[in-house]
Amino acid sequence: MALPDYQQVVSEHRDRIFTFAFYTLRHREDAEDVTQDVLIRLWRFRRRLDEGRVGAWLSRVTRNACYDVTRRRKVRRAVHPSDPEPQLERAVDRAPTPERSAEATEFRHHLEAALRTLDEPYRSIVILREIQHLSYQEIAEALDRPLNTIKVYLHRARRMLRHALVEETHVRAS
Amino acid sequence: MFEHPEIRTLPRRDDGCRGIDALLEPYVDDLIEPAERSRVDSHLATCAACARQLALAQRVKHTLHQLPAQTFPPALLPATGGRARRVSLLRRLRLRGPGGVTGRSTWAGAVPAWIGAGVAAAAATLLAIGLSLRPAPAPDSRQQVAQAEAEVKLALAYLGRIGARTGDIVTQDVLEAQVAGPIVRSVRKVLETPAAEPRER
Repeated sequence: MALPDYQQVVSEHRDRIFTFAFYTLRHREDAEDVTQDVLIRLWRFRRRLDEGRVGAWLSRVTRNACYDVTRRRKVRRAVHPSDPEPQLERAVDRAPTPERSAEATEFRHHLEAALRTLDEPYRSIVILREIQHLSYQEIAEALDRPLNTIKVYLHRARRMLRHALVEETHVRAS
Repeated sequence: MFEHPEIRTLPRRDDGCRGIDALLEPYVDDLIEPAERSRVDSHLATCAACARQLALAQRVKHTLHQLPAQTFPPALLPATGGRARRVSLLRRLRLRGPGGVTGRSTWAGAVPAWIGAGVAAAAATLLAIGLSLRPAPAPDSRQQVAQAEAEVKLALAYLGRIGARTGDIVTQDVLEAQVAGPIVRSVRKVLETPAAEPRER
């Protein structure tokens, strides 16, 4: 992969990498770090990559980089329990519609919070499919799992989100 | 307060609802066998609780679809040129400039700054040696200049990762003197050397 090809791949995939990292980590600066790391790694491995499978490779590497950040957060929490937790961020809607109700916005925020509580690979599957609109086949390649497993896990993950929302409502109401 | 109508007004569900619950997401996606679809339809016709759950399942999917894609700031792109890239690299390196701390690890201070500077100088030297062993590029090759720039950026980013892991904070003057200066001089030297004879790899 020559420099122009690299730049083309970066241009096509950078927002997708960043979006995945943001919804996984819910921390903009960490997501920026992850995205830069992934793009640097892409450059480093450019000669070994099958260009037809770059998208799946990037998804896999991004997911692993997010794991690393999460693991480092846990280690830091263990070493310095008094340190404040990183401030988790909500997605900024760049084109908010005026008619969007406060209730809808709040529902979205609760859903984002519930998404973060999902275990892997459920969370990754939801982000890749429902937010980033990848095909089942692309997700299966990225996560190295059978296609039917992805479909089953996606439904299970959305059911978990639904149950989490119901549970949280009942906890708050009581 | 959390007042979503689908949830707040959910009636209780009985045992008959359990078999239906797992079918609601496939039902929403229309990935359900016809026989199962009929079963869900007839249950929903008589069960307000599951009908509400179906509405919630649809809303979850719809809301996920509406979540905005995020835009990676172009200034942080590895291959972009100019000042913006340099600023982003400085940020990645968790620099403490004259204006104060721009980023701080919770492990800050665990490793003395001179270790970071030493690592930086060593890396710069290694890069210089690496570049000097390559075949000299043609002076007017923009492609090779861009490639060399990208490799310098990688070296800086690598140093940033070392800093992030050790919690070391590299000051800007150290960075300029020990890292950026030597690298830039090394790259210039290699790029400006006429390719008189092939070099040993």
